[in-house]
Amino acid sequence: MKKLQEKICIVFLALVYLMGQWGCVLPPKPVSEEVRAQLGKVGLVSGRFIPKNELETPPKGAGEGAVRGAGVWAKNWAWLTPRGGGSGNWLVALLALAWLALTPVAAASGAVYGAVASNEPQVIEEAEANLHKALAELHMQETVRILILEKLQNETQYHVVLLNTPGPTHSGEVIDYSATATKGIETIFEIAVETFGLDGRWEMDPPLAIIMQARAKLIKVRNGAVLYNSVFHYRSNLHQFSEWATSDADLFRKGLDRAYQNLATQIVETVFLLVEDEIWVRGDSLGE
Amino acid sequence: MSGNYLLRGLAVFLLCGCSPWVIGLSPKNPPIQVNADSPIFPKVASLQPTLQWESFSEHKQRAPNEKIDKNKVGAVTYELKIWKLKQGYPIRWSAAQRNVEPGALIYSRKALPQPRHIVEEPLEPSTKYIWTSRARYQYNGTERLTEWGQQFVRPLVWVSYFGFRTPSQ
Repeated sequence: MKKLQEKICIVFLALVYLMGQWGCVLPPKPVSEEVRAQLGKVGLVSGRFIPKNELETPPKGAGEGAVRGAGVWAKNWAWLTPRGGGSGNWLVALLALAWLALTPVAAASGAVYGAVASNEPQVIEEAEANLHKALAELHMQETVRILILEKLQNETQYHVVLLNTPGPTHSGEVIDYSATATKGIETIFEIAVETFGLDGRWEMDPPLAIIMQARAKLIKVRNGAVLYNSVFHYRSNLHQFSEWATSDADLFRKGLDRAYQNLATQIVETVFLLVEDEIWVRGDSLGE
Repeated sequence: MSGNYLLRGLAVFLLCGCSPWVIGLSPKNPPIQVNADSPIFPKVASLQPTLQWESFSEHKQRAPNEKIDKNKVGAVTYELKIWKLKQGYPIRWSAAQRNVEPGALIYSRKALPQPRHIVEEPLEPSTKYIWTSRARYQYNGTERLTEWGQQFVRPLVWVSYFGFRTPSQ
C-alpha cells in the first residue's frame, strides 16, 4: 500500500513537472479568425520604457565570487582595448556593447575603461545610469514598431496606422485608448519590447547570445477589452564577447537588427497570418 | 492497480514525446526519422537534391483544422528555406521560439507552385544542411500561412527543422 502511494506520488509529480515544462514551451498562439474579423482600423502603439536588462550576472552573496566575476568582465574589456585590466563590474560588458553600437570604439573606450578600473558602488551606479542612457538611445521600441508597420503594409491587407498616442510606460501598464475612437480607430495593436540582454556562461571571453522579448496586445477601443496578449522571444546564435565587440561592434549591431527583424516577423505572422489550432500531429510514415 | 495505470499513462506520454511529431508541412523527401534527439541528416543523391514535402491539402487531411472552412481556401504556394549547419547556431530549440535561424541561410524560395523543389544551385559536397517549408494561401480573400515545418526531438520540450547531407561529389 505504501509502495502504491509512493508510485502515485512520483507519477503525479512527474506529470506536474512535464505539464509545467509543456506550458513554458508552447509558442504564442495565433489570433483567432473571429478576432481578426472584428479588428477594423488598427492603431499601432509602442511602449515608452527602456527594456529591462537581462544579464547573466556573477555569483551574488559571495564577495569573492562577485569580485572574480567582475574581474572576468574587466579582463574581457581589457582584452579589447590597449589599456590594462583591473577590477570592474558586470554592467560594463553590456554597457560597452551598447555604447559600441552607438559610437566608434575610440570614443567609448575611455569612458568604459573608467568604469572597469573601479568596483565602488558609486561607479557601479554611474555605469547603470550610463547603460540606461545607451539603451535609450538604441530606440528599441520605435525601431520594432516601424518594422512591424512595414511588414503589415507589405504582407497583409489590414488597415493599420501609426498612432502618436502614448503607450505603456512600464510592462503591464493598462492604458485607456478610448480617445482614439474619434480617429476611427477600432483596435489598438500595442507592442512593447520588455527585456533585452546577453546570455551566456560566466567566464573569460564567453560565448554570448542576444536575447530579446516583446509583448503584443490587441485592445478593443470601444470597451478596453484585451483581445490578444502574448509574449514573443528571440535568442541569437552564440558569439564570443570579443567577436560581438570587434570592428566597432559591427556584429553586435547586425545582431540587434536581426533581433528586431525576427521579433517583428514573429509578431506580424502570429497575430495576422498564422492560423489557429495548427496542431502537432505524428509525421512518421510519410516518407517515400 | 491505479498506480500501474498511471505509470502506463506516463510511459505513453513520454514515448509520444520521442516520436516524430510534426507541426506544419511534413517532409517526404528526404524523410524524417523516428526517435531522434536532434535532426537526422540522411544523405541525398545529388548536390542539387529534390526536396519534397506534403501538400497543403494533404496536410489538412492529416491535421484537420475545424477553424478552416475548406470552401474559403484559395490559391496555395510554398516557401522553402535551407541553412548550412554552422557551429554556434542552435540545432534544436525550445518550441516557444518561432523563426529560429539554425545556421547561415544559403537558399530561400517563395511562391513555389508545387510542394517539391529541385535546388537550383549546387550545394557544397559532404555538408550538412537544415531545411523547412511552409504554405502561403488565400483564405476568405486574405493571406494566411502555415507554421514552418518542425519536428519534436528528444526530450519533449525541443523542436528542430529537418536535415540532410550532401554526397561527396
